[in-house]
Amino acid sequence: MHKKLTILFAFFFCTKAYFQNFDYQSLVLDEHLTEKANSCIRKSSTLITIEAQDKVIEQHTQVITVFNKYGNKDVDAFLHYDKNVIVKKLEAIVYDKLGKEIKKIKKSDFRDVSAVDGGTLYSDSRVYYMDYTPLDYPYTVEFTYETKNSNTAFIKPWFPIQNYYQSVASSKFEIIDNSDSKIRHHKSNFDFTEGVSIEESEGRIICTANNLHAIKYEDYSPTRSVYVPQVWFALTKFTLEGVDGQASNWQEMGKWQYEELISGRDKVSGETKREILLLTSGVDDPIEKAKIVYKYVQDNTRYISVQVGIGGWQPILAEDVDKVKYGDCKGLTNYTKALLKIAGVDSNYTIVSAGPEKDDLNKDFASMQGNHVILQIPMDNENIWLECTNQDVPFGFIGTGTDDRNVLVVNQTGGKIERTLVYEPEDNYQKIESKITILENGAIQGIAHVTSLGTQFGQKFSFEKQSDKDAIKRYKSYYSHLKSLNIEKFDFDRDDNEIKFEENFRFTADNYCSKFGNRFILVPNVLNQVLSIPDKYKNRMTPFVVSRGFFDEDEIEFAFPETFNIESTPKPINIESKYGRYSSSFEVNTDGKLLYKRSMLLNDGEYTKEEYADFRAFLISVNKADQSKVVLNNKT
Amino acid sequence: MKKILWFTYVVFTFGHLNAQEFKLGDVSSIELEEKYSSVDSSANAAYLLNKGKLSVYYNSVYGWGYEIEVLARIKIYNKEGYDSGTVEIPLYIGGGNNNKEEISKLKAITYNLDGKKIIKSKVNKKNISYSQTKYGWENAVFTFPNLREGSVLEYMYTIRSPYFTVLPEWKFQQTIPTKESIYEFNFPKIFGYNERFKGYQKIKKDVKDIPNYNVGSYLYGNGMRFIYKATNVPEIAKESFVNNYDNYISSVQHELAVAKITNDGKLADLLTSWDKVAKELDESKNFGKQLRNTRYFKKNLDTLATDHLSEMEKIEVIFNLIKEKVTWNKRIGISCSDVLDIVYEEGTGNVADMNIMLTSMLNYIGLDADPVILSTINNGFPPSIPSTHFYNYIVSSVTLEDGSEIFLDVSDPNAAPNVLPTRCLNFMGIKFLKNLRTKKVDLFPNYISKENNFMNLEVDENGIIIGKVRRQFTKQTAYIFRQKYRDLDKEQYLEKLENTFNISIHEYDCKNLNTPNKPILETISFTSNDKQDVINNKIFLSPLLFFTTTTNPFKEEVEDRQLPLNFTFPKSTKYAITIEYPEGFEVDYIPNKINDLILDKRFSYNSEIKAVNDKKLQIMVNQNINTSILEVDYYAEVKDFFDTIVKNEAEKIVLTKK
Repeated sequence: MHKKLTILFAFFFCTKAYFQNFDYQSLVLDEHLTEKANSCIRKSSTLITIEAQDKVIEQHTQVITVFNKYGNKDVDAFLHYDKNVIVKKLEAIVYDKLGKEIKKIKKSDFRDVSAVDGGTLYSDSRVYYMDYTPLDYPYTVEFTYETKNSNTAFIKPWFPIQNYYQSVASSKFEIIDNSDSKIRHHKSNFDFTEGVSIEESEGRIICTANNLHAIKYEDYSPTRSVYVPQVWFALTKFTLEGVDGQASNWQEMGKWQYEELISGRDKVSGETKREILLLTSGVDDPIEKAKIVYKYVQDNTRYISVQVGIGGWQPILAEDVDKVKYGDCKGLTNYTKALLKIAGVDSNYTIVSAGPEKDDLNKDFASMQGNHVILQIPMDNENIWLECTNQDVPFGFIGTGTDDRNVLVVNQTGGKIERTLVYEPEDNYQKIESKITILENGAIQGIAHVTSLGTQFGQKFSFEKQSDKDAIKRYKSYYSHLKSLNIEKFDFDRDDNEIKFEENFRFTADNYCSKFGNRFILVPNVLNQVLSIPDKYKNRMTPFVVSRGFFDEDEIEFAFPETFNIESTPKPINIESKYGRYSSSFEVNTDGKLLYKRSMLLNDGEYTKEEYADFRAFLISVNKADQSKVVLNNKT
Repeated sequence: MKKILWFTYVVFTFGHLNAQEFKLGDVSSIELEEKYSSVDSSANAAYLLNKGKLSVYYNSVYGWGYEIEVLARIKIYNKEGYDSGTVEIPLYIGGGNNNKEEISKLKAITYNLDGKKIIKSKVNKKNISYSQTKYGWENAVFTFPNLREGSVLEYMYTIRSPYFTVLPEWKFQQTIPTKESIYEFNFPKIFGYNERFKGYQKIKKDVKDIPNYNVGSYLYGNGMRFIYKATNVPEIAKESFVNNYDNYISSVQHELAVAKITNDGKLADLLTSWDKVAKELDESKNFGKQLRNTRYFKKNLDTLATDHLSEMEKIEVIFNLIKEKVTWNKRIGISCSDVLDIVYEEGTGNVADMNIMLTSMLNYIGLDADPVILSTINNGFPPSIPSTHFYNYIVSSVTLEDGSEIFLDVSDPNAAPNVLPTRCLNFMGIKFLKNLRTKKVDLFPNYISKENNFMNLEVDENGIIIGKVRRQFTKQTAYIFRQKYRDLDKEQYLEKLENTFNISIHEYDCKNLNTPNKPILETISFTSNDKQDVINNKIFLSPLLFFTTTTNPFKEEVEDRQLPLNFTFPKSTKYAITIEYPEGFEVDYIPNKINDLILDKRFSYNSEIKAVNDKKLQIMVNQNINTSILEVDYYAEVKDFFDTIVKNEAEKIVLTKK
């Protein structure tokens, strides 16, 4: 009898453990949430409590339903942590489409690995992630954690929209200050969509979002974080890796960083000091001195990323870089700064958010921002910016990784937001001068001289380092519209003072002119068919951006066999719009040669989604104009 | 077939290769002064030496295991080679405390030349870090200090591991050239190891007896030493139409085949032949026992009347029955996860569960089905060694009454009878017969997968085209289509289609998307946004419109390609297009007919355009690749073949106003 009872109890227990939660069923959902969505945030709730300057508690629960295999990656059931973080609770529960619990993942069942990204040699940050293979769709994951963090320099921001193709049923974020650390916050893009709101009061902020449609990536979209609603937080009194700080504006933030993290780390060995003094002796111009030091750093060091503890924010000692000859961006920048100081040149440590898309530090909101460090040499007219992690880039060329954006320049007087070098469309210049001969079988052979400046220099300056094999391969893929392209000869000339790159090459391409009976069709734009037409959208949802403009001028002179006549040439084309300017013209010389001239200016700019169709139409007309054809006639 | 696959040229040197010493510091100023690699003058960095010594021995903590000593010397020629200055050594730690791989004696030194003096910089112990980036694995990571153009780097370490049955693969070939690679393998004679070579490099080999082989705690008598050496090995080249590079890296690997454990005088044979493997699998509770298990489905099947059905219909019935009962849990493997009664009851299972279930059910209703193990494309070539270790997938094979053989995979929802998932089409599998014998079976499809496109176009005098295309995908092409698009939201798919083909879609229909044993039938009505050129009252028409092949898939420069061309499955692509042109126009020019065959009809391409009447043209294009894999000797021909296609399809039809 006893035995039977136990079994019965066990049975009861089992059924109870696998309960059904009808809130988590995913068969019946509002169409607004399923349309163009691979997953849906059913509920996200975060409570952040500041207990003290060095103690922040985060309690988080999210419930995400995944509709298909493309949504799996957006379950986001992972938690980053490091030695400052105590993970008090960590759990995930998986529900099937009916809302029936099918799996429970306890803290010990989470995978726990180092969170080292591709470019980093070593970092002490770690991540817990859930290892779960879905059996059926849709399914729902409830993910819960609670952490205590003694680093308070970074407070998690609120981004109700987390992923593309993911709708949001409800998202709530609450932050409470129980200390006197003083929360500051900064909200933006609340007009992107309806259903997002914020309640602000002293020491307590509540953000909510409800019923947000899924968004998707669209061509020319800026990074998601540029346009989606978001709120950033920071404490005026904070702690970073055990170091206390206080700052409510950029001036104070810069001063704290300079004093606590940067200053006094610039000693190098006597030997290096002597070497720098020797190399720069007799040179008076500070720019010339800086060039010598910059070259010394490029020749002697390399970039290796190691991020451990405070080392994630503080440069390693210049002395250590001197010893091992490697360092990360902070270490190499600080080292360069130290050597410049020896040479008598002042420079400033500068924090930036690097990446091909221009990403500003928020000038109205001081907090720990940025992911990279460069060096500024202050000048009366235009400041010089140095990228210290690249061994090949010319002095003063920062390219598209850190150009035209707000950065934090720090020194003993504090921090200041400044703007890095701007490359205007006309600065990003390319000129192609070419002479091409058309052969009787429709093949072409020619020579070309290409000059590149600005960001177009940036795309090419490393070509010099390539092997011949790779260089030819690159030409073939760049000019993939030329069939059976053969590059017979090429040479490069790189001028680091002018920041100018010149290429000369000799080429042939078979069957370039298509033949129809005794007629040939020639597309005169032989060497600059590179602009593609972006995708069309029925209802574009996001604004768009042309991050950088450019200006191209092409001049090609065509020669033909004597028996050839020009049957028709296109009319001159001029296209003007706020997005840019295009013109092309054809002219027959007295000696029977055809001269083709083309120029194209693309403006940079930020535009609304309504303007996209117009922008696309501009690119289509440019593309069409680039396909203009000349008809040739063989008399014999 | 043999020519395509196995390649390593082994030369026995009879006593010329000697046992290896492991110590750092043997760096000469000649090596430091060297400006170019003698293996490849364009190399940014190269291994001057890469050597390893693996010894199998007995350890009182975890029993049998092995120890491998590694020493590498790397030359940096220029800054582009600095990446080779960072080293990562993976260790498997997922097996619990007593089964962890451990690294010791890790030392690394940078050598530079200062005038005539050699300057050494050691890697500091505190700069060696250990991180677990992948679950179950730990990486020892370090970077060399004071790197300069011209530096020579040296490192050595020892790894102790309990995993002595399948030993690590020794790679003679790396991502940078290797001047000399030496691998020494020592083991006691109570073990016998199989040897598996890969790649195209010439390997020298020497075999020696070692009297009194010292295995650690005990002395086990005689041992053996194999020494392998390769010199001047180029870096691994990246080429197109290779589905798994790992298959071609020059390497050797050993797997335990025989063992005579003598501590209690007993002899134990491990796997030596496929017949023995078959016997073992037959007795295994996760394979043979489940294959013979009929109790869980007996009742279900006994009530099904299948006698009147054809063989294919019977297969269909069982296929659908299992699909209804059991869902695939996306796991692959060659052993059942549990007794199949439970799998059947709970309704989820792995590839082995489902295909063993399929095999026994088919046998139960009177068909002749057997399991086939195979290695998926990502898993690499199945080696010829008799061992299940290198295999990771099971399918079922049915021999029909007419003697033909078809393959079945009931787990993947997009697979159909005789249409295995594309990942399974990897050379050959091993079939386990009922008489406990095995048979090698060819997995490359003996059928042709088709993509047929029937298109009707109308062009107006402004060059605007409206049209309708019916597309048909069969077998493998249909599998790939379903794999890509079955789960995709229809609207997302259509947007993608509109942008790929540069069209606006008016009507769309897709049939059989969820019926894998039938072809995909897609119908699209559209307006092309790709306006055709109209110059001087002439219309220049692109005959294949958005189906035009614009680039040669073999566009890279490869002078001496070594790897075979893997097309994975035979495929035919067909375009039948009619174009109606406006009143008042006539044909001025049509591209020439092409009839090109190469390689005994294994490759063919035909294209013909002709007038149907005074307002209609007909275009027929057929492209056939009647093979899954092609010997590298045909590389140049195949490349030219695609050049012809690209050239031909770029030509235009010219219509002139009368």
